[in-house]
Amino acid sequence: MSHSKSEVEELVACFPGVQEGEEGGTRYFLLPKLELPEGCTPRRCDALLCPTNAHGYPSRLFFAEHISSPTSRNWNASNVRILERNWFAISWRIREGLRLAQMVRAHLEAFR
Amino acid sequence: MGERYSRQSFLGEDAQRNIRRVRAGVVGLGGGGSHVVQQLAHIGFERYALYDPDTVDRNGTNLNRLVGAVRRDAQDETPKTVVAERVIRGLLPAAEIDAHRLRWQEEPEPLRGCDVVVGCVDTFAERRELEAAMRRYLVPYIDVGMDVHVREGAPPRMVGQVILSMPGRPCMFCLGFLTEERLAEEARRYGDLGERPQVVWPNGVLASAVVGIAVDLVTGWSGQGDRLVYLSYDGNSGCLGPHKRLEYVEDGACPHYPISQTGDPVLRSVESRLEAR
Amino acid sequence: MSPVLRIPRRLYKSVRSDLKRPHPFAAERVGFLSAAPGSTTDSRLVLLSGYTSLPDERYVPDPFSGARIDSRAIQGSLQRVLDTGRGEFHVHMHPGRGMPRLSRMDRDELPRIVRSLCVAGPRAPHGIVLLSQDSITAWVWLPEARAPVRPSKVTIVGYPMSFVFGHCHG
Repeated sequence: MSHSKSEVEELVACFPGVQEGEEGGTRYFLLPKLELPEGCTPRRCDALLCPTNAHGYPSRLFFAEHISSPTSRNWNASNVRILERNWFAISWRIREGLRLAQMVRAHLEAFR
Repeated sequence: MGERYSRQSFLGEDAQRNIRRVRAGVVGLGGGGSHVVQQLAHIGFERYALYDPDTVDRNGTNLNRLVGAVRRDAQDETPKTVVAERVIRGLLPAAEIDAHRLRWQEEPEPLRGCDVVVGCVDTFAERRELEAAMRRYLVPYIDVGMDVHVREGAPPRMVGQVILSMPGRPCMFCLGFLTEERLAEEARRYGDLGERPQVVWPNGVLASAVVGIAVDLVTGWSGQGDRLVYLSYDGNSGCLGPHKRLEYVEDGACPHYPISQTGDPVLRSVESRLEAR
Repeated sequence: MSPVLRIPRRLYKSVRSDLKRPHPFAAERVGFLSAAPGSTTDSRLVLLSGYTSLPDERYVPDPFSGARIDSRAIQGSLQRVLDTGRGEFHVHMHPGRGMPRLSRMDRDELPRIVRSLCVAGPRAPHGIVLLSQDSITAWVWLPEARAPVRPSKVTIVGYPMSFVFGHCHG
């Protein structure tokens, strides 16, 4: 699935330093040191956005480590290997049809 | 020692040299993986990377199928890596065994150094990850698994598969074994497989097929040459044969894992790409 | 740490097929293999994953060598290193069977090309791959290495696999 240039530009504008990679036919966006919501530990963490339904959810935001947050979440993906790194993710389903930057924000809502 | 392999000299002049010198990776040392390890050792594979975080169950529930495990292992909750190593060393005391009592994702580097990797894992997600990693490092990956579907009002249905995922050739997505639907369904169940029915004999059938493929890969003894391997097992009838899907799969380059994406991942700056346009 | 080289069989066959093509005046053909690095616990991997064939016009007549390529061919290789970050291996084929050996001309000339590649892409492996009619060997300049090393194994990845173990010839 390709994303429009404006969507990608918006993602870069909101989350500087974003990188992209591909594996198994799926495109991923790496968000280095993504700032997490207030009350989270750590406050910044590398995150990997999978904007398509490749991991059982319409989109998924993986993190380089477990995040502790004001709301306790179900970390149902641990040490998932993607692009030769290990990632962690919670069970959190967001609605489909969002732009890339909106997806990231919607996933981060889980940690408020 | 020279006589030990005399009965398998039909494998070819360089066969035993290749078998001795290649490194085999086995991920998952349960019912399937324990069979694979035993056979590889009998044939003379001397170098291994092994992964399994689990132990023999204290209540002995895996003694019905874990090759090499004995009652004492259940009492002691022996790690499965220890059981596997014991089986290998019983035949090859000087074998080079790199055993990891971990999930492979926690220490993946040794697998990259293997010449062939066998995956005896439980979930579709794990299979996807393992295949992706092995494709990156040009390692042929043999996937194996079996399931028993218990149905109301009908006999249970026993099925299994053996798939060779060869770098550059159709992958498990191309072969229709891995699908988004299967991965999604598995994710919905949080990957919880519950207590899946497992017995020794289908594991044996499938493990033997796996080892046969591994030996052929390493020795070329069968002369069959370049081929796709996707075997389907019907445990009710006892038949193991090429999956029907092979009739429809195009044996071209794999679009999911192009050879150009080999090696350590290269992530590109999106900003630079946009500026370059 | 001796590296291990891997090349997919289909790529290997297409390289051989290309190098066997006759050239109007050169006795040998040359190409470039692209290489991705990988590390394991006890060795370095060099994963040959692409091939650039050189068109006829990239050759320069030279009665003293099997093949001489022009500066544009070398610049092309350097540019690929800069564009992709991957390594480049100069590849050619010698007649005869068994473990191939570099000619004196190869030993004099090829390291210079490789050293330029190392400067352009210091984080990637570069080097020389040499084929005979039935074998393959290599000289690998690993990142930050001044001198080449021979691979402990070359694996042609296909069904079946082929292995060339130990490369102790010069």
